[in-house]
Amino acid sequence: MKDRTDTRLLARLAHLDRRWLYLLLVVALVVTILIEPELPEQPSLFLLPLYDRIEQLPPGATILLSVDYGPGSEPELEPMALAVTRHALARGLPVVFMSLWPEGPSQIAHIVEQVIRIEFPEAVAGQDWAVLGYKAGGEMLINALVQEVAAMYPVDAAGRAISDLAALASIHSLADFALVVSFSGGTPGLKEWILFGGDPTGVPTAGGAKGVGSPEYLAYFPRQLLGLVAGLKGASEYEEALANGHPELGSFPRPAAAGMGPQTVAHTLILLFLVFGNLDIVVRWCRRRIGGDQS
Amino acid sequence: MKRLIPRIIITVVGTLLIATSFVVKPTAGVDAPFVPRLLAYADRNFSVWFAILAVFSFALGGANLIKSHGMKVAKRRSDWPYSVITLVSFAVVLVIGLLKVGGAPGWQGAVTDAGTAFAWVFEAVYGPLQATLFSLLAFFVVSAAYRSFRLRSLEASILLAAATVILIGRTPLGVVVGDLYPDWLTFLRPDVLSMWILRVPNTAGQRAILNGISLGVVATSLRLILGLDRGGVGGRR
Repeated sequence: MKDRTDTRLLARLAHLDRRWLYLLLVVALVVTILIEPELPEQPSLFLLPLYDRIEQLPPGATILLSVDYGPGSEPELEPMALAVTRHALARGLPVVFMSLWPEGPSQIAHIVEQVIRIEFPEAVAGQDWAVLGYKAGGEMLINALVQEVAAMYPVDAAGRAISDLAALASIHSLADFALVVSFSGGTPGLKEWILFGGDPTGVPTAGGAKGVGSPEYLAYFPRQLLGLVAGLKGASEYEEALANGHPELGSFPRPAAAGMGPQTVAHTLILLFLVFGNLDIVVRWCRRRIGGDQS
Repeated sequence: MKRLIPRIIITVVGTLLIATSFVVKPTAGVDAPFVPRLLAYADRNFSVWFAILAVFSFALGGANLIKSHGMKVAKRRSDWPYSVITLVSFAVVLVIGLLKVGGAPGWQGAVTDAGTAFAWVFEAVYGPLQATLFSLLAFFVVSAAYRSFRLRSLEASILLAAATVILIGRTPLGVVVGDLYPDWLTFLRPDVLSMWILRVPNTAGQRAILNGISLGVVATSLRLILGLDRGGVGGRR
């Protein structure tokens, strides 16, 4: 009798109404967001080559940051874009923003507002940073940049001739950038930068990608892809590495670290549901093995 | 003629672009031989021409959107009120973007600058809508994982084990749990194991898939260049 009750309970656990799952997830996430737990972080081996490269570049070396995402990927990709921009400016490396996505310019505006205007107010537009903006074409745009940057971007987003911008004074083609980093929410994005930018020119190419998209890019690591900031966890690792490596930056905002609490809880909850879903199968399997129960 | 000209363009452009990468090194300059000079010209200009042509795809996409949703509204097909919302939204954003409402006059400043109506639509409407849509994915993922990851076969069990390791290893939980392991079990730490899964089996699988896709792309490109695949220009494959 007790066995039957147990079996029924396990079967019910394996077939919970999805609304219970949703409710539990909402409650768990809201509570974690309110508590704001601080969790330990260790930079991964995918990320360190990018961090080290930015550390080793001589001051004045220009970095191209391609903001290839829209609002849908913003929670995962913006924190890493903020961290890399902050790192580059802290090292005295001019950053040039562009985008392969139409939504890119608005995302670039977020980075400029949150990092450059607030944390580096002394940074001069056109000298320490520049925004080239969006152009259509995807991989063919990159191909054109390999030939000549001015062919596609004769002026920056503010309408100034790029020949007048100190940040781009030494840049004729893509190969003249010290590093290209694409924050990639999909296509066109990091893959196109590797195949059409990094491979033909040899310019070191790194990137950031969503957690679900990252495994695809690891096929290019480490020869064609210098480093990868993988998902929100990668961004959190970058923030940790930056905080440890540059204490002079003080306590800068760490949106990725703040997001790791809810993400950890969500992952744990999924694991719990996986256990619930499989408990019934495991118990029945054990009974068959031990007791010879064929039911 | 309607099909012949596109086929000629595909063959000429495709052949030239392949030649620029694999046959002769493109060389600019008046003294250079004709073929390397032609290739240098193609190499330099074709990408720019493509980028210019790509802009026209926006006009084509807009016209297609108006046509398909306009027809739906005109014929009162199912869910036609949503098409009205689509068309009105399209028109409003197009007008405020083209006129740069609220922005600096003329060519100064960008349409996405803070203070423009376009930037407001992006921040107040487009951004929150996309964020809402993608946030819902979290709930679907939880529900799908709960229903799909069942120990019903060896393959499903391997998938479940890998998913479990990645779920723990790709969060700070992996470090916390891993610190409980004795030194001789370091290789089984969730954070270490998850990195191994990503670096070895995942990379091997991804590279195999990429190689397969690349061979497919080469074969399809050759068929297009040689005129064997006519589907793209309106003929039979």
